[in-house]
Amino acid sequence: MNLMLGCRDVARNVSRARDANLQGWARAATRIHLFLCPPCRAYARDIAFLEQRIRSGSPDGPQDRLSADARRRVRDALDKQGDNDL
Amino acid sequence: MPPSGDRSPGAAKYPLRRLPLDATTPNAGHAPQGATPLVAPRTRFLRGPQRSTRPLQTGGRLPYTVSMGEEWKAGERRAAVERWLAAHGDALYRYAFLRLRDPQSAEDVVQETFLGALRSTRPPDGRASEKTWLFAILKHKLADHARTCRHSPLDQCIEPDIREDGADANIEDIVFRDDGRWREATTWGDPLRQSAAQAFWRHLGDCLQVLPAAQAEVFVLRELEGLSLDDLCQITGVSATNAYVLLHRARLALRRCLTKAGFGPEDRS
Repeated sequence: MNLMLGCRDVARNVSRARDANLQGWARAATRIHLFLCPPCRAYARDIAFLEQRIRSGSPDGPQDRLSADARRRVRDALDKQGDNDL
Repeated sequence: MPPSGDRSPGAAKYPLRRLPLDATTPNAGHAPQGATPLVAPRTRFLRGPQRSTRPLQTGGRLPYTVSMGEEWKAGERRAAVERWLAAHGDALYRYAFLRLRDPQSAEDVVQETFLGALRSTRPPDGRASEKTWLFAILKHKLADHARTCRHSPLDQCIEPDIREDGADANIEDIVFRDDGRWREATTWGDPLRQSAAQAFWRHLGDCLQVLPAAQAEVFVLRELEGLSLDDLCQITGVSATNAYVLLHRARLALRRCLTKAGFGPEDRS
């Protein structure tokens, strides 16, 4: 069994590990590669930081929030149709 | 499929597919039984999904097999609208805007989503499944909008940006050499020196807009809106395997894009 992975494969595994648990030889080989490869460690660190940055804040631009006017239109539509007769 | 005998219009129109759950299916950040989490400092990146989500209020059942509730009670719709607007309005709008690139069209589609949800006679159980349910309805409304746009001469009917996802296969070829090594060794360096929050979100928004549609969609649902992989697959219709690939390519592309945009670049060999 070849435990040596290239950076391309390790990058895939590092990404997949953010969504599912790596197991078995893929996990072992990825650990070994990360131990030896600074660019792959940097990639893993950067995407972890990207996730951390996204989770720690929230977008606040005009394209990120449903406007008060749109919210009012939803309520108006409900009032127009009747609460139980939509 | 909804439980047999469920004939409500809402349930029939917006069916929730049953997805198999086995010991290895990622679900809401909980490690499968028997899995040993990696804790070595050098390999902390392989710790597995760290997200915590609200526990499903379905008595332990998956949201896809949740028993549909009863008819709306008097006043329930109004309370539901207020709850949905407060909890999910912005998230639904962000997703719609990502797909349509036009604020007015995005607002219209979100409005249709809420009205479509109100027409359902079977509100979903549990707050966690409510978000997934609303996103699934939004997905249908976006498809309806696309069909309308194809047959409409109206200027304000903005065609969704349909990009060929064949191009996304290039990102791995772009960042990796033929021998599988990185073409450029870069890193974002010390996170504490990163640019201000507004600049980050502006850069991220710009980079998401140039991503292939499928990649942007799954990344937004997974990372920005915090949906589990199962919910994401249900909403988008992609398999888990394809979702992994799309998320991987999105992360590669966004890292490259943010680096080029000047977001904390630092070359290290």
